[in-house]
Amino acid sequence: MSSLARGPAALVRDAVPPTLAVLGALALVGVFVALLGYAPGRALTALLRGSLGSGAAWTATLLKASPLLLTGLAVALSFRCGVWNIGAEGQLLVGALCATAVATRTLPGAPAALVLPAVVLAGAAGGALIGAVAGALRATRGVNEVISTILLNFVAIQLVALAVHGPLQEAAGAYPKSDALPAAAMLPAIGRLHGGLAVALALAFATQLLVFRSAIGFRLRAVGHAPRAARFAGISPELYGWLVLALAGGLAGLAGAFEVAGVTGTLYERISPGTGYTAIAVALLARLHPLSVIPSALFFGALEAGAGAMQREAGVPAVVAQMVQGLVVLLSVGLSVARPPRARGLRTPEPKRGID
Amino acid sequence: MSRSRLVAALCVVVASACGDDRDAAAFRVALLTPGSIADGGWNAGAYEGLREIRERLGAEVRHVETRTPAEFEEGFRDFAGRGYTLVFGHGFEYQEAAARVGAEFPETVFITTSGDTVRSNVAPMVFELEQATYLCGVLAARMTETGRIGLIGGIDLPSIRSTFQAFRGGVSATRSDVEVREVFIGNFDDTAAAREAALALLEEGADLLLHQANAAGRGVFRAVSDRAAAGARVFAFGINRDQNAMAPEVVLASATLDIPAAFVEVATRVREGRFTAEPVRLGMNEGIVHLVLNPRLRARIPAATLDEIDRIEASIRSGELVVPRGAF
Amino acid sequence: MPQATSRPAAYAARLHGVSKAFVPRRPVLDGVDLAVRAGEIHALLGENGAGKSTLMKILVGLLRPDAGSISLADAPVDLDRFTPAEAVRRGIGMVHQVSALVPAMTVVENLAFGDARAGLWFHPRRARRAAERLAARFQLEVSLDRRVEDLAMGERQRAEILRALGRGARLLILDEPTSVLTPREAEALFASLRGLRDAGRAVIFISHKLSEVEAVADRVTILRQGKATASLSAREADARELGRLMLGRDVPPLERPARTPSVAAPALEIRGLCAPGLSEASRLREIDLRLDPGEILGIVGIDGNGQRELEEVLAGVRRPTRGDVCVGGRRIAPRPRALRAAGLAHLSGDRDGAGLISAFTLAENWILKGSHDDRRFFRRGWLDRAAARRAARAAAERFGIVPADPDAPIASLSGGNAQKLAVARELDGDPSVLVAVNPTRGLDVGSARFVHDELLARRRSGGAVLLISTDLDEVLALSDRITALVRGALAAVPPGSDRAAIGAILLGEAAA
Repeated sequence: MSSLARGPAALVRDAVPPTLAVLGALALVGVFVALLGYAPGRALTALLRGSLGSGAAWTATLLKASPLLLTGLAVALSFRCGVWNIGAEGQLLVGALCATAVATRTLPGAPAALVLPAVVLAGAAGGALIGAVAGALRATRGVNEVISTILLNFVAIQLVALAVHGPLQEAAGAYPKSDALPAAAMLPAIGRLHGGLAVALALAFATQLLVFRSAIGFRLRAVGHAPRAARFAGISPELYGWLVLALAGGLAGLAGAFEVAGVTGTLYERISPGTGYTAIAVALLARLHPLSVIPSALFFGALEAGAGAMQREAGVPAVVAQMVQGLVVLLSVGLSVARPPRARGLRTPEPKRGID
Repeated sequence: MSRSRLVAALCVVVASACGDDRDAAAFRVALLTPGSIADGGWNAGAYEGLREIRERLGAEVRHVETRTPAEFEEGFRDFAGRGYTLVFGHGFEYQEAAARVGAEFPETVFITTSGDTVRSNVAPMVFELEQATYLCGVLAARMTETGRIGLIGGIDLPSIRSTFQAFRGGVSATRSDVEVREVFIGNFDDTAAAREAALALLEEGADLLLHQANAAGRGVFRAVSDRAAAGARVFAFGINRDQNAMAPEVVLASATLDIPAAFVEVATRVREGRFTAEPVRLGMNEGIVHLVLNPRLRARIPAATLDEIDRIEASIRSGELVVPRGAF
Repeated sequence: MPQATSRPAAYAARLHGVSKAFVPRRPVLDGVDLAVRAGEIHALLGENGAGKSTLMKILVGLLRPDAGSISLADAPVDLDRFTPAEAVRRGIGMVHQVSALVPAMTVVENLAFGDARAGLWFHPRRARRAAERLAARFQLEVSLDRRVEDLAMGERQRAEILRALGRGARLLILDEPTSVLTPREAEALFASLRGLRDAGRAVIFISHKLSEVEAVADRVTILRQGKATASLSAREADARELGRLMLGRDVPPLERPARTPSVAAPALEIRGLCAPGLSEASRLREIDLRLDPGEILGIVGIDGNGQRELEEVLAGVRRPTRGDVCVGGRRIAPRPRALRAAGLAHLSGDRDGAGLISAFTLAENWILKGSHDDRRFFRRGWLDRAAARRAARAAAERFGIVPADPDAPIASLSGGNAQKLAVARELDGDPSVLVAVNPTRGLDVGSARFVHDELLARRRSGGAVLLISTDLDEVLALSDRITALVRGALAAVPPGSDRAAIGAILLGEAAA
């Protein structure tokens, strides 16, 4: 997993278990749907058609994959460094909040060419900031990041609620949502497909380079594998934990900015259906490999899009569709991660003791 | 189960797949909800309405729970593209997506539940629950002995504020010396918090309480019942549904909103070609909103007050009296 | 061989032709015979990877052999039904290197805890009486009412032995029992083991310290590469002979030529060093020491007396509260990079925790400490993977590290090979001072010898070595001067002190 040399062969070998898991999970969907008394053929056809069957279906899949890709990268990057960042959800929300604030409150009248970059950067900065808060607590006070990032998720949810009921509420004052973002703040799009997706793809490659080719990535992997050994090598686990939380927050915050500036055009509560939590499954299925997060996010995006189509076309109730989704997540992540030999990122080997 | 068997099952399943899309002539109605239809409240009512549309109007219906923002537009577009006549988006957050997709599919009508976006084929439906809470206000003003009345809200939303505003209007139109206090507990599920808020208001001397806290309202009834059992003369109002039976000794009346009927009403209008590009207001005249008195407590209400309520309801129905409400 | 049931068994355990392979055609054990008599201390000697661990796992029922047979107390064992619980029932007791006792419970509670015959309820008085009887019967002195965490290592080990005996063990297996003991405690342990032997119990004593085997064992079985190469009476062979059997080659004694006193500036000087400790006993108090070029200074001590703290200060990861560290006459800020840049290298016996990263490859470990300043491998924030691989491969080939594959993770290497890599890496920059802390802990004889040779080679070429070790033999064999670290302070060791004298100093008793 941490090999300097990762030839194509290793990548292919690593891809086999997740692929099998995904296929197995899909097959189980059919069995499961049939057991609940719905036509499995129609349900599966709808699932496939709704996610991959047409241009519109691909659009739906890609739109859902885009925030999953960015938050998945955030989680993968954090976990690589041994930082159990559960806060991608909150980081995404704060990113969405900051992007909206900049777009609707501070920038009216600014030159159009500046608006979009400022909005996007504000999203990244907002996410980075709340990530950095968890990082600072961890580095200076030893606060466990699992707890702090989960709690910060709640803080972020309330911040968004506060904002759309107060300072960012639409001018009409009727609904708890923001004003629509001005046209200059919206991402360029082909059809419904916004440009954020391209940025997300580019960032997957950038993250891959960062983790495996840069000195910073080398240090953060060292910290992730063995914080004490890293400290002896002059690498501060606190500093890198902090850095990685800020970076991950930035990626997740970007996802939030892209959601408002690319999909909804306005901020309201519950703008994220738990994207930041699904991101954990996305990262695990990708085995924390930044490049593998791309297919993993696509898979989860397709599943989400297909679940919608299953409801629309095959009349499968939403509960069943979501149950199926949950099952597939569990199965695919379970089967692909629970492969002992190369899952070292998650399980540090016990120091060898005893008779030998 | 082994993977190979799973793969085999997949093959069987795919082989048995059959695409059967029926003709487009039928009346077809779809509903998008922002959450689970098993919530026993907001979304459940909408789904109930969808089922009644199927039963009563013979429509072919579909429901989708839209979880991601991107799905609002996908849902609208998919159903419109497949020739659905009417698509409901159950919440104000569907407005932008409805307006965008509505421009591309002029043949389909898009209705959002509340909202203020109107296009030639896009409109919100607006419930006039205020008509009933206004009457509650009148009744409360007549019934209070302490001169204090309490309001308990869940989350501070415009729709909730609006019903409170109407209630206050009813109170102040009846008596000028009654004080109305309000509290928001910040959510719709915390029964204990609602109970605490109710107890605090009762402690301050309020003897009638109206809640707008959905499931948490149970806590209000509990507090009022306990106080009544201890000998105090205190009452509560039910809201949204007929809640008179939930605490029959203290719930004086319920301001009810028949969401399923509202969906049927809108669908009927669309089917009969009576849709116009303006908000669909649904109140007492449409049979959607009612004030339902608790028969067990009816005797406690003075006859003069009952007459007054009937009179005011008549003037609301005739349009002579427009109850105050929030601008949304 | 049939035995009359009334007679005591002749053999506590007999293993015959035991084979085990985890990978087809690469046996870890290949037809091993082991015969342990009742009333015998039987040493099992072998290098890391020789198969000791696998053999013992088979004997305690954790692994099933591919071939072979086992009999316990002269009765054959049905290997299909031989579980760990069955092994305990048949009288096998394992005393682990890492304590299996609950630290927060008293010895009595630990003895009662998990004893299937004790029933559902804990009877304090009954348990206490049982523990007393047990201790008296085997003459093992243990403070029964103290909590295990408050016991010294030697006493803790006796408690562990008591627990095994309390469960009816007739054959005790001790895994590297002396690695955590002071010389005096080790002597006491040997006396206890002799007592057990005389009480008719059998003991399997796993070790790679030849001197101990000589001191305590009646018989020795030597494993090499999965085969029992010899089984002989301990009187038949001396340490050198045993080493030869174990390694398959001769191990000449270390040669440490006398050195002429240096006139140059000290390579390392520590003045008035104080640092916080993990416990009160390990807080560093006013450490003063001077290390000359071409000298090996041994700091001997028992774990928990400040060795770890001194190591951490010298590696730059523990902030001293007072005092100076000077390398080559210059005062150096005690930070990892500053110390490294000043020419101080750090070789740790805690390879997994402090030296190497087991999930990283050889190449990644080779460049681990240079990620901030080593221009050969890190340029402008980027990592030169090809250069790292080349360097690691070259080092692996030069030092005979197997496999010499720069992309193999350290976890796939044996402890000895991993430590070779650590040694090679630390000496790579030709440091003026090498701080070696327990550099051979857990290594087999061959690998330990490699490390010792390298340290002596350092000394010959004018390097200074600070050897902080709990292994008294190692310190005695290598050091020009010896000092002791006791309760966080240095205690003088007069030149020419023998093991017993040093042991007394370590225990805080006034040296004669």
